[in-house]
Amino acid sequence: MCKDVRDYLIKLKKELGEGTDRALVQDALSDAEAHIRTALEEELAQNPDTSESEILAPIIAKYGTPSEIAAAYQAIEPHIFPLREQQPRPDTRSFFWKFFAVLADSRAWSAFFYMLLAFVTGILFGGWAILGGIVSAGSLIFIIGLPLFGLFLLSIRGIALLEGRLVEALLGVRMPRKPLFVSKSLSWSDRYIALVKDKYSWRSLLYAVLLFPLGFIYTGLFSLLFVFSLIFITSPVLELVFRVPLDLFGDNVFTPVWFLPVVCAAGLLLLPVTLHLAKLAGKLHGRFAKAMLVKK
Amino acid sequence: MIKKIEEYLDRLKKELSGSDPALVQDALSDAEEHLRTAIREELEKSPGLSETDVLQTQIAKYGSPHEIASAYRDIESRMLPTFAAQKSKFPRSFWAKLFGVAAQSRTWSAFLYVFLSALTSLIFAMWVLLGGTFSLISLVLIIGIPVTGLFLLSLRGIALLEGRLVEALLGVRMPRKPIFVRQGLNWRQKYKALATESHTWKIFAFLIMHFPLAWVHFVVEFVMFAFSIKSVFYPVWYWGLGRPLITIDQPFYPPAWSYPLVTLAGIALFFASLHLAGFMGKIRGRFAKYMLVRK
Repeated sequence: MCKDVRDYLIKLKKELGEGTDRALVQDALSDAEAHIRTALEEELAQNPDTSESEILAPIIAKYGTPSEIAAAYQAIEPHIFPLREQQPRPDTRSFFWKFFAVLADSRAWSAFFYMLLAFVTGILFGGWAILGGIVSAGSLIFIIGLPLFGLFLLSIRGIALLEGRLVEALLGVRMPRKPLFVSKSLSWSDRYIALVKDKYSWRSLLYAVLLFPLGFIYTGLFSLLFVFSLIFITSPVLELVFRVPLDLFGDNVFTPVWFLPVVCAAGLLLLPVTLHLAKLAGKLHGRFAKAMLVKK
Repeated sequence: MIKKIEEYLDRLKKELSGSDPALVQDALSDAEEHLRTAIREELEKSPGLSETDVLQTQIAKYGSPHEIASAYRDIESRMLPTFAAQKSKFPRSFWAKLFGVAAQSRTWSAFLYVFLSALTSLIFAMWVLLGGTFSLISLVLIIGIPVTGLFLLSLRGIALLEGRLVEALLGVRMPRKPIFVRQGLNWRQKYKALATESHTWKIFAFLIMHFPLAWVHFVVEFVMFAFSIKSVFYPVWYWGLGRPLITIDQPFYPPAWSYPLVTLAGIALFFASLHLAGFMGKIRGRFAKYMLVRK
């Protein structure tokens, strides 16, 4: 029996258990809270003299007990994971084959694209977090600064959701799919305090600020590696057909012809290495995003 | 009684008719992969059995087309994309619609798509033009055949990737899985299937058309948005830096009495640019869906 909505949510969280993905827990809790609170408010508006705990029981009976809801979410989760997890079969392919198979790995390429796009998101999200943060924090000396700062923190939550969608789409890490539910029955000041006190807002802000330099590093590093491997691979064509010196041994110097196959082979090795690195960086960044952008 | 996998897939497709085409593509690809892999493994274990018999037991395990279709539809209703357009329960007033656009997360996600797609469309279009030309030229030699095949395969990968971005930012349901390719076919059959399928060429056409579309939209959106911000803060801009509002042949300095008007016009332009992003996001989402989802 649940006393109030908070009790229900705590039980649901317990039912979902430690092993469940945290992004899934956040979505499930947000869904349940949105549903139950909205239903409660509608009921209370119709019969104002009933108490909250009285109406809660039928609403929960309709929606489902915490254990039912937890089971339903867990049952559905394997079907809604966006990028297929790697087959659990043991990978018996040779090292050589595994090394080059990354060229056909859609996860590696999508992580590579995340890295290429990171500077755009870094500039937009990080720029907003830094500029907006400075302006709204500075405006706090006036009274108008209070709502401005609240709006700014709200926008950071929006950015966290948006970045989460990108991270899930390209890095394959399950991230929250829904905005956090905010009860409409709370007063403005309560909502404001909840927003400011919530560590989630501050972690998201920190993430957005860090994305600014990280985006440049990712995009710079991976576009450089990629371009170099392309130039190396096509070096025989560039030097012998188009007569463009690669300047490998000083200014305006052509590579010795006997050395070109070596350069070409180096490029052929560098390309899979770049993709392996992108996959690794994607994995690490995905973990970082999950730690920062999912409510604990 | 279903005798062949193709028959199963046909029935599943019929059962799913009316559902979202991206869902149909995923469900068919899942079912085909599951059944074909299971049958191959069974036949390896006990080679004496006929394929039809094995298929019967596997279908019984996996589910009839009707069961599978209803399971997918059931799941689908709970996994709409985050920024999918949802009808509001309450009718909103004209003003709420006009200004509420700035508080909608889907507007901003569409806005972000404008920026990101400028970059992705450039990279993809370069790949299509360079890779396409290169593989066309290489067709003169015998090596051109595998090169062209790999190029066409890469288009499918790009379609999946672009689909993930479109679903994440524009809220349009797109395929979530790569299309399953049968293992049993030989290279020539796979190649023929790839090169003759209209899906492959629709992706090709999409990637070429998407580039100018994305850039025109990007430039218009960027100019509108940047100019709206400048207009809103023009008094500060002028007093601080002494810069003109706009320079067409000659710098234009609006008179001081018109500053409130300039600011108001900037606010109007700001909302217009957001509405444009939202509206174009819908159209571009539909375009991507039409071109990138297999029929």
